[in-house]
Amino acid sequence: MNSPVVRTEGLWHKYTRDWALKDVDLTLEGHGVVGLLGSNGAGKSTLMNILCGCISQTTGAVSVCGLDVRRQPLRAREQIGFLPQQAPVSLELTIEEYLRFCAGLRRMQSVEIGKAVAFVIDRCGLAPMRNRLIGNLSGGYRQRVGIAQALVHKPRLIVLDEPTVGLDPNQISGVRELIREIGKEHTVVFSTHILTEVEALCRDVLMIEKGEVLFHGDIGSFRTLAVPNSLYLSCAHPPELPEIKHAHPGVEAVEMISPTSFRVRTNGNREVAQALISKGQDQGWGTEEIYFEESSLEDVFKSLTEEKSA
Amino acid sequence: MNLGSVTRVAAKELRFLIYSPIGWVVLAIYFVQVANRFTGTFELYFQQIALGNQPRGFALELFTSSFLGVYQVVINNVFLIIPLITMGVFARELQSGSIKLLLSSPIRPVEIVLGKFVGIAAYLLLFVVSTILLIAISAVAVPNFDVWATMPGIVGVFLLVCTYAAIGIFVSSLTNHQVVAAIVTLAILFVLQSMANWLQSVPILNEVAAWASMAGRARSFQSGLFATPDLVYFLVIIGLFLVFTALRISALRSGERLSVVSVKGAIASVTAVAIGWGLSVPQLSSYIDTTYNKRNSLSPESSALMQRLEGDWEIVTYANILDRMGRRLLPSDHIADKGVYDIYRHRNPNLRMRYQLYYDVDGAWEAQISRPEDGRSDEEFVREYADRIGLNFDRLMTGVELDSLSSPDLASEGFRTFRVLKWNGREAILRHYFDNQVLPDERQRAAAIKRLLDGAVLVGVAEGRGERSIHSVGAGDYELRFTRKNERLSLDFIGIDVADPIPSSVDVLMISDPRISYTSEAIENIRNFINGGGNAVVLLEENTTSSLDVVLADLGLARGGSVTQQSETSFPPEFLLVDTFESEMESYWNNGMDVVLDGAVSIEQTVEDVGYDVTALLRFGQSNLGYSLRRLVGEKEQRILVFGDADLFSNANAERRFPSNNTATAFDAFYWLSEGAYPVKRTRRQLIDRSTRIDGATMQALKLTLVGGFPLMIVAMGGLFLARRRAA
Repeated sequence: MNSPVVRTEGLWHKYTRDWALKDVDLTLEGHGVVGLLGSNGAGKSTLMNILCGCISQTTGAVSVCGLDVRRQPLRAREQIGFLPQQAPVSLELTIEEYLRFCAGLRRMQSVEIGKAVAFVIDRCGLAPMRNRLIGNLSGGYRQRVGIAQALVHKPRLIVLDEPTVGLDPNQISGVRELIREIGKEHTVVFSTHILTEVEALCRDVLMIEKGEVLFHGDIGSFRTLAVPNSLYLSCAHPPELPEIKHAHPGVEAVEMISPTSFRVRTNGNREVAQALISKGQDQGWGTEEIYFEESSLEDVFKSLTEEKSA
Repeated sequence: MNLGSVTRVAAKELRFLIYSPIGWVVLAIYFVQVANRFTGTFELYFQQIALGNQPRGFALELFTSSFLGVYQVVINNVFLIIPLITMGVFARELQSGSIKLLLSSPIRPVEIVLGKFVGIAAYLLLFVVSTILLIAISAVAVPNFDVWATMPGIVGVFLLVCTYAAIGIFVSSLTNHQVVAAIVTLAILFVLQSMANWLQSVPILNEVAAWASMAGRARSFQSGLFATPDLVYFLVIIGLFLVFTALRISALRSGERLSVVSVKGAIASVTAVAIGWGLSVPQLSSYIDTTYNKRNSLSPESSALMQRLEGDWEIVTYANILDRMGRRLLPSDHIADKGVYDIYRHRNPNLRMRYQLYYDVDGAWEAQISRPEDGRSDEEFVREYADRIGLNFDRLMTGVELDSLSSPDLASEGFRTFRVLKWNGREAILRHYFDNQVLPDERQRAAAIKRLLDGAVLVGVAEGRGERSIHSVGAGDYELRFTRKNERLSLDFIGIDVADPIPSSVDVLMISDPRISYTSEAIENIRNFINGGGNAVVLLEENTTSSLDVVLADLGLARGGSVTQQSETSFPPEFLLVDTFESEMESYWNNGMDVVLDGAVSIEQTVEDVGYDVTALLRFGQSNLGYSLRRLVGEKEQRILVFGDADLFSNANAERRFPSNNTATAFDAFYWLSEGAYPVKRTRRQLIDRSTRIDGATMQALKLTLVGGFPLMIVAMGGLFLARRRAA
């Protein structure tokens, strides 16, 4: 099949009055993890629900593996595995019973179901508890079961809506590892608002805000956007603010956090750090700490919006 | 439609119920209810049998009866527990978000909904199974148990619970709160259950409510009748609510506006009603009565009559609201009363029924009204009563007013309650009498229909010479039971003076114990009638005028002496227990009972060869007390009866409380005399499942097991099963 895994053209959606998605044109191809970034209410879930057939778009065309979700909804949905924000698990069933049900629901041949379920149980690290009731599992394992149901029928597109929310750090790293693994064989779209998660997992990044696509590209070009642009500086003998400001042309602004610590805004030029270190040494600032602060999602949005409006 | 998907969703829904306590508890509640009713009714008749009161039939009393039958308790109560089963079907998925698993899977909304419904229906089959268990117990405990009669009820129970479930599933799809779903479903089902009652006196709406009433529709099944219109009704309602649910699920995805979904729902409703009507037309309807005695069907006799009654027909009921029959035909009774005639409507649907209520204080002499002597006028008195029974007095006519307006002669009917059947320009009157059944039974209805078709048989009763009177209520007279008021005989009686030539319209001449000599002209008239081939019945006593002896002599008969009994029984000495009754007239005969005569005169056959076939009917010792005589006159067989006791047909005899075949004798006599026309027979088998083979200890054990042990076992089994599973 040469069709892209996902293609949307002129996709608009509104629930009641306001547009939740505005003119989204999108093409996703090949294996790998696509991070869907956006703040709360940006339209991430709407987009995912539309891709998975849970919501029918207001206008525009959406196809999955070349199958129009309106015209061939059933065949399109056969290509999809979906983990909504809340894992759609049945607490009264055991993991194996539940996954068998899901596999059947996705129209797998009954002869294949046993093998597929065994495989996915193994894959998601659920083997020791395959016969336990889902209701008796911890949140992390329920989430794994949720992921397992999304991939049990080996769909080409797997959509995971904030799969790590509500998990403890150990569980988060486990789930991330699982997503990375799955991404080797499937197209995985997963949504998050944690930047580091995107950087750790994704091949591509899709960023939407207020229903519009702000950015769509590979992780490399995303990194340049998300480049850190502020430095934290703390000194035993702090200089005057203008001294810091004039240390390098790349310094745009300086703010005082405490009498001995500062935030230095840069234009992104990484040489600013070196300049500050050498100047501090020369003038006896007694530099104790200096590092680039991680950029926040807001910063990225800001830069992207500025870029767009420029 | 992908059946695999439907099955998978169904299996999951069923598993949910089996893996949750609610499924087990609800099953136990259902079982306690039916088992309690079953053992209660069984025990009642089990005890009554010991007192000599047999049940009409065990299948009837235990299951199909609307009085104490098991199906009645299901119809009345099952709506209370269905919401517990259906509340979570969609509400649970909407709340947990797991609905998205279904929405994102390759399965259509209609498959989801159908799957859910099938799963619930599969669970509800457990209700059916537990009911079948009770039937199986009956089949073991009762010889010849009429299993077939209980089968439509099983189907009816299943259809009813499935219909309630379809409604519950729809409600469950509207909310993500299970408790809200349960309460709303309960409210809806309660309204549906009670609507027919609330609206029973509201014109038009009561018809709609009765037509739409689920409990009402279940009644045909309950009584042992498969009726396709009722089957169609349930299937259409189930289908309709499943379509509603599928529309709702589609709307979850499409986000269609309520107005759009409502329009689709309305279209579905109209379509459903159209399909329902279309499939319920009489041409496509069929009725299978599975009961042993076919009690839900017309008798072969009525059936044959209805086959001849083609085209429009009408039944107008004139009800005096003050008399005891009229009081049972108030507006709130009309739906039920019309229901009685459904069985006729199945044969000829062009039946129109109207009710004309009126009042007449004097006509209501059977009313047992104790009017207070408070100086109020009739009008004031009736106004208060009308007000209390919810009738508008100002729209109520008096009998006299109505009489001046309408065609039947209310005055000659004594301003009583009666019905007029109309067909093809003919009319027949169906009268109501306050006896043990009040409303006319099937034979009386059949007789009225027969009179429409064939006309009446007229009995001319000689009067004016001290005969037993058809107009008076004396003990020896014939008023109460054997005049026109005797609806059961269904003959028309008129008084005639035999001094005039007997009218040719008279089919049967009756002469009953004249005490004063007939003139020679009268005797000639009687002899001419009989010798001319007319049917007649002559009843004699010791003191009957001897002027009649010539008539007897024509028949080769003569009066002998009086016969009395020197009895050792508990009967008064003048009562005769007459042994045999040998003729073809035995249709109403109750085996094992005697004809009881209140003193009699023997009749001797003096001349054998007068041209009649003579059969002795009643015999006491060496004396014959009655004969039947037959001969051919032209093409016609002439029939004559002679009895040596005029009290055979008397008011007192008819009202006698001890079991006798006297009434049967009267029936048979007139049936024979009217050449099989009236009264109309009704052949219906007697039920044979009237005894039980269990003993008292077994009864007690059965009771304890079914009401206590078995439900506890269900709950315990469920608890154990769930506890083991929960440990996983």
